[in-house]
Amino acid sequence: MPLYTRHSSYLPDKIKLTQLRTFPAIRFALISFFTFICIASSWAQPQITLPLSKPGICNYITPVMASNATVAAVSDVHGLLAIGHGVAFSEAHVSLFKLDAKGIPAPIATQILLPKPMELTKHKNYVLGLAFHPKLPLLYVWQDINVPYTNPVPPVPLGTLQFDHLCILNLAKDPPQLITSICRGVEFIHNQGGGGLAIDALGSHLYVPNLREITNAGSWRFGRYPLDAEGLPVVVESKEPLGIRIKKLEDLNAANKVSPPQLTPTAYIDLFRQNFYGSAHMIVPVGKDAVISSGNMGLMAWRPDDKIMPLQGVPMKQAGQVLFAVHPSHPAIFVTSCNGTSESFSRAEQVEGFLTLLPKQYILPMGKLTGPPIILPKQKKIVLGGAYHLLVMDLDEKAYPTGDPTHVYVNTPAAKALVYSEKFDRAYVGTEISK
Amino acid sequence: MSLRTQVISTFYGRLSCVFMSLVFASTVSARTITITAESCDEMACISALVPRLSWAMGGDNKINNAHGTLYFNSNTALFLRFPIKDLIPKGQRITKAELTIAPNYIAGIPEINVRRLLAEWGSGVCYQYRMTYPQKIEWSQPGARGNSSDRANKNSATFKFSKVGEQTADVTEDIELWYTGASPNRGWIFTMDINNWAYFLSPYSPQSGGSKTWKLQISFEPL
Repeated sequence: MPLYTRHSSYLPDKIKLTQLRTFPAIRFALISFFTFICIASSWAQPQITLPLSKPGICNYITPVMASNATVAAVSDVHGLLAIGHGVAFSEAHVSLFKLDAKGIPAPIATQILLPKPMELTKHKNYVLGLAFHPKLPLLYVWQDINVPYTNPVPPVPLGTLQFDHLCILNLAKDPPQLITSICRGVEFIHNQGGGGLAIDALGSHLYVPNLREITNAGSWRFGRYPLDAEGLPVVVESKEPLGIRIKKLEDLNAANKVSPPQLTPTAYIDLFRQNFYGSAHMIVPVGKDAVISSGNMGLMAWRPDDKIMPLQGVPMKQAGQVLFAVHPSHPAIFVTSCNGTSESFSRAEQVEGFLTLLPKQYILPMGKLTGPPIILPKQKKIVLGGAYHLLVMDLDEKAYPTGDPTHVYVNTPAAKALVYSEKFDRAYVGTEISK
Repeated sequence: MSLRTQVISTFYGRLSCVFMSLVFASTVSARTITITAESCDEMACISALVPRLSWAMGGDNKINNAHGTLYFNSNTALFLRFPIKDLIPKGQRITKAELTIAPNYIAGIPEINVRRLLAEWGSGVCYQYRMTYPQKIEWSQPGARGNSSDRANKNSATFKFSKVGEQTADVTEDIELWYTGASPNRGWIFTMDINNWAYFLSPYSPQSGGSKTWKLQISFEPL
């Protein structure tokens, strides 16, 4: 007879020993419960463990069929949804969906292929970052090429240093036309799995990822370009006509002289440690002249014009690709690690581009997060990308997660392309095409 | 039932009995718990040198990182708040509480003073402001140095380091005040009045063990 029968009086009467034998899950849950009580009463941790999610339906989430979708951006001004594709999808690098008056994407997308040097035909280029200009009909795309990158950098195939990471597309044309592509040479790292691209709300600066010191392949950083009235990155001041400015920019690019005028300091140990997802996994402008960014160590705040301390880092428990969402009206930042095994997200805070207070970690049993969080401020919800599901949680009046999580099935092994439209109060998620 | 299942059942049975015994026993006898900075529910580090930063653990080359080392000098103030009421069951009497900190480098003989914070602080806390959201509110003196307004007018504990390593101070009165609710728990402020240097492993270190070096041991017994 098992020993614990002698102590079965501790158990509720209705749970008989035979039931415990028959249902290991009940037995395990019971033991876990008492274990939790013991631990919680003596070793409280700054973690909140959430219950297992329940299945749910969310009519404010719109699946958009786009194979191997890795990143998404939406423009409420232009009524367009852009989805970037990874290396597994060869038909297009960007799919551009027109949104109707209700925010429903058109069933057929305009598919855009991005340029790469002819010498790199055996290598695949893929999209890491997308950003619409807030006023002008322009789409900025950050692309990468799967030519291996290590420190020191191994010999690279011909054409690698002529690969342009930044493409600027004119959306006023149908189909959209490439205006120019820049950001090439040794200063830009390649073969990364992440790299955020962002424009501030005024359209005054474009933030670009995945830069390095020319003299040190392991010393990474990111930077920003001022944008001119036509949305063109300003490398040297010029008041000449647009065509001439583009030509000059391309000439400078060919000479590897288009380094962003403002760059973050480098910190290769604590902030920009070499990893698979680049120097800035994500970039979100906040306040005036400030951005929140993420690296594999956690969150960063960069205030380029702050003369005292322009770069600040706050590490997070998560490792891998760190993606986040900044609440538009509260200090909350929700942070996830998108490695497919992560079972937690965190709530950090920022005010005016200054990271503040102690991040709180929320454990999601069986969460398996794969993509970024997005915030639906009108619905007071947070949505997190997972493997074949999205996790949805309510937010209270101070933007803290509350209630039980629910999960919604989506047809993708890794929900990565997630974006929210304020105008339509709708979230879009890139999914695989049903077969 | 297979042999393996029986063995597992026996193991879990014993385990559950031990835990249940602990639960019941804990409610009737004195206990001592040791918690670390991992258990803090709020934390900040401010500095006169970077008056808007909430995480001013120290840095150079225009970079400040909360991770790694806390470079403590007279410009620095560290805030730690332990959720005392959540950690100790109701109906207890605090019999002893000790705070332990451990610098791993010192220059001179640094003296670190610990006081209770009196003013409410929150999002955006920094040297200049005790919060910047939902509105900017300044400390009565920059850096939370206002006695009887920002912080208590006397030290709860003083650590004087003539060598590196752990040092412990009695903080029973503070824990009792917070536990009973006689004083709202706004945490402690650690300051250095005479400029010296003391380096600590950062109390906020989610990717390393620094937080475990900041310890609070509390003994309590039923009333």
